[in-house]
Amino acid sequence: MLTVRELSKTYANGVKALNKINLELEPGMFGLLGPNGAGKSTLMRTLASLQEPDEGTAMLDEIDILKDKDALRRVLGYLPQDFGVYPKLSPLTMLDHFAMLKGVVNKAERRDLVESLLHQVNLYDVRKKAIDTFSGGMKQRFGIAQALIGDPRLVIVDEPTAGLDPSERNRFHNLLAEIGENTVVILSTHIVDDVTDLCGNMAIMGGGEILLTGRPRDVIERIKGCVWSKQIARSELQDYQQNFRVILSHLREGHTVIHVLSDDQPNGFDHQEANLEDVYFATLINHGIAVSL
Amino acid sequence: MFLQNLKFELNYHRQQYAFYVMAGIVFLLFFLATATPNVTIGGSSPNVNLNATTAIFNSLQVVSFFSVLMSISFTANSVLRDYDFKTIEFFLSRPLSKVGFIYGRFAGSFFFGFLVYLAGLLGILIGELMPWLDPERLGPFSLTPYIYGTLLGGLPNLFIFSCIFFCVAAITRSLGYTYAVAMGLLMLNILLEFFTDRETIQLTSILDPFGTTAIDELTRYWTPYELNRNLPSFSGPILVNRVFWLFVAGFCLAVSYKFYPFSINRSGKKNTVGVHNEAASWVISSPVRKFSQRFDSSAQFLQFLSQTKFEIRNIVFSLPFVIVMVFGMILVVAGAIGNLGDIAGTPVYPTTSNMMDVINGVFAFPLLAVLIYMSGDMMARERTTHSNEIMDAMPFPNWVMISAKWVGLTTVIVLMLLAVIMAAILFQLANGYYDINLLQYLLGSLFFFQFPLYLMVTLSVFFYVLTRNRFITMFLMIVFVVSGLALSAMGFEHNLYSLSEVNVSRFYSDFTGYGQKLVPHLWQSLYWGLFGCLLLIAAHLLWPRGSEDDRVSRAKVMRARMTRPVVVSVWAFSTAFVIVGGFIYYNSNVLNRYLTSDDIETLQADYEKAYKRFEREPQPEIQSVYVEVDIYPVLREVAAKGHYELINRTDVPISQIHLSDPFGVEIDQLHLPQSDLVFDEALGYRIYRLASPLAPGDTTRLDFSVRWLTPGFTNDGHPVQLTSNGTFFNNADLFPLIGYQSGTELQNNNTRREQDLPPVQRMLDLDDPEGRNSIGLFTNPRVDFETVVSTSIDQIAIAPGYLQKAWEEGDRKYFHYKMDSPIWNFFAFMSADYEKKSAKWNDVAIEVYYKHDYNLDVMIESTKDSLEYFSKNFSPYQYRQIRILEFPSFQGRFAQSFPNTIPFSESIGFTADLRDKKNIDYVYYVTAHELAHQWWAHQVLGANVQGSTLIVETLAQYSALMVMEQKYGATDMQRFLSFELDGYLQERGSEIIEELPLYRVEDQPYIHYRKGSVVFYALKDLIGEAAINDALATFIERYAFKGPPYPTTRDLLALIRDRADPRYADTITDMFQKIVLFDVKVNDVNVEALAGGGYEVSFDVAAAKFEADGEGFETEVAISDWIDIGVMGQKIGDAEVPELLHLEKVHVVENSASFTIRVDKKPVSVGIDPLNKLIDRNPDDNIKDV
Repeated sequence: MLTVRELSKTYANGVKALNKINLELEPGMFGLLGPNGAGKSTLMRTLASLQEPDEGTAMLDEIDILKDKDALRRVLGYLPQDFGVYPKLSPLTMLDHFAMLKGVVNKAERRDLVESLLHQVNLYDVRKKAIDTFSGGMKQRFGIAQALIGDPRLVIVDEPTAGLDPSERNRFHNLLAEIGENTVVILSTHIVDDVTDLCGNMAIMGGGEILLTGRPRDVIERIKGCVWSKQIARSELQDYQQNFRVILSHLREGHTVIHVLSDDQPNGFDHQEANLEDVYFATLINHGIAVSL
Repeated sequence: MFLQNLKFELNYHRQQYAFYVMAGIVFLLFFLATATPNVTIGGSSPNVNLNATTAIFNSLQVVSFFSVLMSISFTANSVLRDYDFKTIEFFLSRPLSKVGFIYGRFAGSFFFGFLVYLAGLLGILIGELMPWLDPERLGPFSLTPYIYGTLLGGLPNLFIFSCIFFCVAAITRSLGYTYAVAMGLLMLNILLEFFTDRETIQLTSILDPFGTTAIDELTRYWTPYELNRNLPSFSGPILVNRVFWLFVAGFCLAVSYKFYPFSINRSGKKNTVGVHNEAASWVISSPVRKFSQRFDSSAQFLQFLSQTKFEIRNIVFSLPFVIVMVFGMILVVAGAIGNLGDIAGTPVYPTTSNMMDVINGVFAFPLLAVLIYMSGDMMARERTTHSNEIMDAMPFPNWVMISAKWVGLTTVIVLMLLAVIMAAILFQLANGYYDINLLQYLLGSLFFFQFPLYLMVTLSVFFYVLTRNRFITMFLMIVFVVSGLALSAMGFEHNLYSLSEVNVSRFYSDFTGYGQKLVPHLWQSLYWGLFGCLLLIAAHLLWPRGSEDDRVSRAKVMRARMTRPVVVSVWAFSTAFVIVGGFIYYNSNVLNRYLTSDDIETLQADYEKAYKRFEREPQPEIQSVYVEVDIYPVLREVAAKGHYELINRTDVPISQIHLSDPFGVEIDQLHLPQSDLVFDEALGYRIYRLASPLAPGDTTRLDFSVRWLTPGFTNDGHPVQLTSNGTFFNNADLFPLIGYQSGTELQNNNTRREQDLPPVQRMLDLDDPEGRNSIGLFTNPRVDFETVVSTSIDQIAIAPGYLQKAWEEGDRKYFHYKMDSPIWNFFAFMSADYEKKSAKWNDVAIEVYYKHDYNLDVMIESTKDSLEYFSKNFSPYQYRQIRILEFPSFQGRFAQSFPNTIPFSESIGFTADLRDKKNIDYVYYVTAHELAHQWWAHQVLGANVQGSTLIVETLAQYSALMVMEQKYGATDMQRFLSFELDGYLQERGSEIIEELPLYRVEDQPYIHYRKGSVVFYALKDLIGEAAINDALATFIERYAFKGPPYPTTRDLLALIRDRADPRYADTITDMFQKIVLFDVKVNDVNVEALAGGGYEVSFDVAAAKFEADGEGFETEVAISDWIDIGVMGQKIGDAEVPELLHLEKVHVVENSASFTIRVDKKPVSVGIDPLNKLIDRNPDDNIKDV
């Protein structure tokens, strides 16, 4: 179990990236939703032992993440938001080296492990090609392969699906879904569907704080029946914003459709089945975090 | 579009702090170099002003060199950064014109490179105006050299290199390749410097991309006058060079257009893997769970190995590495070809130590440059490839990464060195030299030569973790290297704070191995090695892991890393560091006296200030010397005990006897009967006041007992004379010296001014009446000499004189030498484990004591021929024995003639490679020269006035030339003399006071050796060998072995003039009493085949004659000289020079003349002074092909 208590971090330029974060995560997939600048990456890097918080504690079971970094790194799998590789090297070479760094020093064991990982992420056929010629999806799969070396107890995956096409994203989700049940997996994303598809638990972050936590189904339940939609002209958007709690706008067949939050059905609005996206935007707006519509 | 892109580029660089850092560093560097006394970049000769036109010009060349280095990052960056920053798509999505985009980029980055150059220029300009500079060393301020230097050097250089870098970056899209090409061009520049003989310079001056070789060629023969005021004309080699390279640059720029990566895919290759197998069905397979993880120390070691393999592989398998390595190998071979043949074009054997010298000489700088680039690159690799976050979260301790990088870099350097060693060995084998000393190669290069480089690697690691920016790391390394040089130039020389280690390899000799420098070097290496360990610990504490980038977080992380083992090792290493440092300090400052070169200058000045007034104080002369010298080779100590018989040869009573202590020698005892002593311990000056004055003609006796000790080790090593095998010192090193020693006076007038001393007077005027009564060089008349020298049992000790008796006593050997006739008060003592080869000429025993046996027969043959020629033409040889003795190379590159004893350096005669008979046999020549000193010096010596060294050195040159001509013929002489002329004309420019006419020469080697050879050979051509020899024989007859008055060059000249045709009187005046130069050349030539066979050749010549003053300012004078004209045919057989069809002396009295000559065979070329007997700064245009 991952326990985070009162974790705070203020950057030198005054930005409060983390403000007294408290979290308790059971094994399983945990989705961390939030807009850019919400503090997701700071939290992820801190939990991955790559950044120093100002205050607070973080424990993975008996491991003090902030003090005993080595112990954490031994059971950590980390896929950063944007990563590169040494030029010209193949996934086989790289994974072998990473496995070595993760303490798999027995040569035969390491070879078997790397091969199975390559199969698992379906890169076996290109295991000898240079990684820097890979497509985005293949590179992400390589990334998750390296994160999975050594059966980690904590896996941190930072915005892994950004820029992937739907089929690649789907493959990637499948990979994540396979991770063992005893592992805490934190998936940070700003794509709501990632969380809907994968996560048994989630939190929404904004302005360095945890705004909401819960199971996706439960949090959707909370606003069930309160979301209403209407097709409007684009120019009317500002008027609606003044009169209603508009949580999101999207286009349907070229027309602007807005969702508003209201206990009663407003005039001219249709009932809208609530989903996680509505929860997400409603949460942000409730906390006064600007969302461009 | 172009302008818009240019503006964008300018704005980009303006916002990059790297630019400001570089410009700032360059500005400061050149400001300090100009404004700091003792640190010089441009002209270093004391006669050349600090702001001499050529000094500024040369400094600007260096600035352009620096800015070119720095421009690599600008230009390459302008091509590559869109890929690094992933902004290319942004640009590609706009409707840009490719031409405007590319060349706008180029122009912008070129402009910023140029700004860096301007910063350096400004540094020099402001530096020149600093009020504290010595006004005597400043000429009037002028902007012309700045503008000219920029237009001719700075601007085109920067443009040429920017174009090349831009092109390479565009084609390869890699910073590494661009650096590799830059390294290649740099090495090309170094390489070309080996090929600056008159014959090859035409080509090399074109190939050098910096144009420095061409400029050097143009200013090769410039005198101080010209160096101060003139600028090289924009014509000839520099014009060709600039045009050629601008053409190359233009071509590169055009090619860049084609290759510029104007597409999304950086590598330019098609993305082949991208969509591979996407459609294939995905077999879900469960991961393997059977493996174990270990994190103990053996696992960490395996991690370290794996990471090291990665680091090495990343560099070694890259083409840039291979390019640099191959260039390095070429450089070493070229360096060996160029460097090993530096005496009259004749090579020395490629012994392992000679090859090591070549490697050290040519590869040190490129290796340092590679190290600086590669270390920055390697340290930052994780960050530049964005793999740092993955890596940082891996469970390995910091030391794994730091050590892997350190070992990786070091391995790369070792691999490069192994490659050049291989090249060196191949060179040896190709030259038929099989005595390859592998151990010396490995020790010499991997440890002695390279140790400072290991420290540089460490420093680079440290700088990187401190700054976390590879460019700043590289700049800091450059600043470190440059400041190291500057600090030592400013007098900060102690090994405890300066890393500029004694390069032990340079002191390798086949006599001693690494010898006496070894122990201090090892201590120093230990000291700096411990310091390096501390730096690595600091690197561990500061190692960036993750992104804790603000100071508070860094401090927090550092505290967390201060674990017990870290603290303990910091303590251990610091303690060891301090203890070793203390030990070094104890040795260099307590056991020995630590003096910087500034301190020594001050001591010299103080000595002169305090005691110059006694220079003409009447002093007794030494009449006889008896001394017992005990040499302890292994301890490197000498003890001597003996006495001088002193006599008052003046006509006044002497009441004070002055003695100067030899520098660094312990005087245990000095005793003069009935005297008391005033002793200046600091300056080693003693004045004995005699109870009763020494009357004219009276004698007294000075007893002395001295020891020359070498306790512990010193900062820059103990004197080279004392060594475990190959001891070689002379009496002035060890025995008390009578009177004030003018030989210790500072010679450089600029240094003298700093010390508040008047300008130096090198010698008394030629006509000084008192000068005629004292003897040149040794100042004391001849003495009776007897000595007993002892040494260790395995060595032979030698001193001038004949061996009376040799015996062994305990573990020591004793040799008793005695000379049966008086000799000059100048004698050497030598001791080594020698082999000996004997021969005989008439009754004279010839002995060569050697370590290398390559050229013994040449030496013996030359000795015989010389004895024969000199005794036939001058006078009989005065001794019944002559000995030649080899001494270790680190003691010098010279041979020296003592009575019946000639020490000869290992590095000039004994290892010369004379297998190719076409090369000039300088071993034969040098032997003959030294033999000639048995006459010119030991039989007759000039008075202690100007011209005295003509009588010693020029006559020895002439004598040796005659012996050599007899054996090798006139053709070899002509080749040899062209080296002498070249040397004379070049070295005039570095004259430190003023150039004098030959007959007034004041111990100026380029005059008494180089010009002397040329003049005497021409004189012989004019008046004949017999006439000169007769004059010399008469000269000896009149003056040899006689007391005062001693002869001067006036006496010698008179004898020569008596035997010369009066029509040559003016020519002899020009040769000896003026500084005269000619410029003769052939303008037009016409040949007609005659009906009755034969050819008629008619040609026009131009001839001008100049007289120069001491600074080298020339005035044209009327010509009226006897000059050769000649017609040359084909080369016959494998002759080096063409057959002379016609040669005659004509009297040239006008600046132009025409000649018509009939020859039988087909003429190939005609010439005026075709054999280069005149001193002519353009000897090449003397001959013109038909």
